[in-house]
Amino acid sequence: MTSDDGWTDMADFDAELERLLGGGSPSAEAPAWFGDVAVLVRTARAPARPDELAGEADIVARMVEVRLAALAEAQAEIEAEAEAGPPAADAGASPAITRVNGVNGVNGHAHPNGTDLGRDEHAHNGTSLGRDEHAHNGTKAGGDEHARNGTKAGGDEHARNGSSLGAYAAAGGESDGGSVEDRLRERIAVSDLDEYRAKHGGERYYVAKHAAPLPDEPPHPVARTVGRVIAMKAVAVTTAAIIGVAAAAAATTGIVANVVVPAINDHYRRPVPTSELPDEQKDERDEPGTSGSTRNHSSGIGTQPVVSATDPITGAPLPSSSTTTPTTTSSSLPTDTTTSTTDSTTTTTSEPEPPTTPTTAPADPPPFSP
Amino acid sequence: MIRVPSTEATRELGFPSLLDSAIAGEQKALAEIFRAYQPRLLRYLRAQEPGMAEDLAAEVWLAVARGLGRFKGDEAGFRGWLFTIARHRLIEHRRRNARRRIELLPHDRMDGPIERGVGGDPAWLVLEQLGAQETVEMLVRGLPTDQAEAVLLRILGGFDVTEVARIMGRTPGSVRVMCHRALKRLAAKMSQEALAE
Repeated sequence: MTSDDGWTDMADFDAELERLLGGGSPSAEAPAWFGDVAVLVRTARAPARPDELAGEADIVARMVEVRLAALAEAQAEIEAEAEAGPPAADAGASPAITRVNGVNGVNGHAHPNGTDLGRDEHAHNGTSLGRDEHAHNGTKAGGDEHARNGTKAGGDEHARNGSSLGAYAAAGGESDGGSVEDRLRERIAVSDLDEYRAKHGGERYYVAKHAAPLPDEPPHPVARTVGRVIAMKAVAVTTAAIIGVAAAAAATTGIVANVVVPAINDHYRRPVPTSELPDEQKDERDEPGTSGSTRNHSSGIGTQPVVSATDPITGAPLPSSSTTTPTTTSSSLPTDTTTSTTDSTTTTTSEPEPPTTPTTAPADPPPFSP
Repeated sequence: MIRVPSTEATRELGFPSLLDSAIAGEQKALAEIFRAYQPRLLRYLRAQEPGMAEDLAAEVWLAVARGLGRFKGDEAGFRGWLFTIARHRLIEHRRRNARRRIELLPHDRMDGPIERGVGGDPAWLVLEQLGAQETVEMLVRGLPTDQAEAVLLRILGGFDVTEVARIMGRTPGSVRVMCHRALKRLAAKMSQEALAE
C-alpha cells in the first residue's frame, strides 16, 4: 500500500467512522466488520443503567454543598471588596434590594438573591437593569461597569457604597449634605429628575455620581504654593546631602589609599641591623661581592623584604622610600648567584648576568691520593 | 453529530438555563446534569481504571461543581470540559499509584461472554448478553492506551477528531491515525475470533 492509498483509506475511514458514531449503518461498500462495530458503538452509548447512577444522591448533595460554598465565598469577597473600597456617598447605607430566587434575564446570570434584567453578566444580591457587568448588593440601571453596595442608573463608572434615591429615602437615611433627594435637587433641575422618574416608570433610581457629596474645599492657592516651595527645597537639600556624602566618601578613600596605607607600610618596613641577622646571613654579607650590598630578608612581617639602610656603592644611608621597590635596587646589584637562589624577589624582574666567579660554588674535591 | 441523551428537564429548559440553575446551586439542575453525563463518564473511566472509576467520577463531579461558576460555553463545551477533567484525574491517579493499567476487566467478569469470543452475530450477542460497559471494554480491550483513549472519547464523549485532539493534547492527524489503527486492530481481532468459531 502506498502512502496515497493510506490517506485515501483514512479519509474513507473517517467518513465511515463519522457515520458509525452518528448511529448510522455503514455504507454498502464498507467492510463487513464495520457493521459489527456499529452495533458495538450503539450499545456502548446505551442509556444509563441503574448501577451507573447508584451514587447520584450522595454526589449531587456534595455538589450542591460545593456550589453553595463557592457562592458564599464569592459573596464574601464581594463584600470585602465593597468594605475596602473608598466610600463615595452615604457610606454604610446599602439598600441591598434583595430578591430571593432571582429572575434570570436575557443572557445573564441571576445568582441567589439577585435579579438580572439586563443583558450580560451577574447580579448579586441586587438588581441589574443595565446592559453590562455587575451589580453587587445594589441596583444598577442602564449603564456600564459596576455598582457595588449601591445603586447606579443611567450613568457611567462606579457607584460604591452609594444608595439609590428611593431606597435611601425609604430607609430614612440622611447624609452629610442633607437628604439624597435634597442633594439631587441641588444639582439637577427638578424637571429633569421628574422626567427621569417618569421615563423609568416610577423606578426609584438616580444618577449616583450627581448625588455624591462634593469633595472638600481645596486649600488656598498661597498655601498650596508655599507647600510646593517647601517640597522643592526639601528635594534640593536631600540631593545636596547625598552628593556631599558621596564626595566625602570618595575623598576619604583617596586619602587612605595614598597616605595612610603607604605610611603603614613604611612603618613596618624597617632596616634590620646586621647584629640581628642569623650567622649564616652574616657570612653571606661578608662574602666578596656582597659586602655592603642590598640584601632582602624576610622581616617576619608578611613578605616584605628588608632592605639595608646603606647604599651598596657609596655606603651612604638610603632613604626608606628608595627601598620600597626591591627590583630597582637589585638591578644595580652585582651578579650574585647566592642572591639569585635565595631571594626570588630580586631575580624575577632582573636579568642577572651569568656568574663569572661562582664564589659560592662548591669547591672541587681534592684529587684522590692513595 | 452525536447528541448526549438529555433528560426531560434538559430538553424542556435547554442547556443554558440548566447550567445557570446549576451554577446557582440548585439541586435539581445539578442532578439533571449528573444523570445526563454520568453514564458515559463512568464507562469512560471504567474502561481505563476499572477499580477506581466510581471514585474518580466523584472527584470529577466535585471538580465540576467547584469550577462551574467560571465555565462559559455551550453543551459541547461543557462535555469537553467534563471529559478533560476526567482525563486529568486519570493521569493524576496513575501518577499517584505509579503503576500501569494491568487489566481492563474485573476478575468477576473474566468468565463472561467476552472471553468466549464474539464470533457469530455480534448484534445478537450484544443485545442478548452484553451490557454497555462490557461493550465499551470489548471495544478497547487489547488496544494501546492512547488508541483506547481516542476511541473512547470519540464513542462515549461524542467528540470529533479536533475536539479529541484538543483534549488529548495531540494533533488531529495523530488522533485520526490512532483511531484508524485502533479500529483496524479491532477488526482484525473480530475476524480472528470469527475464524476461531
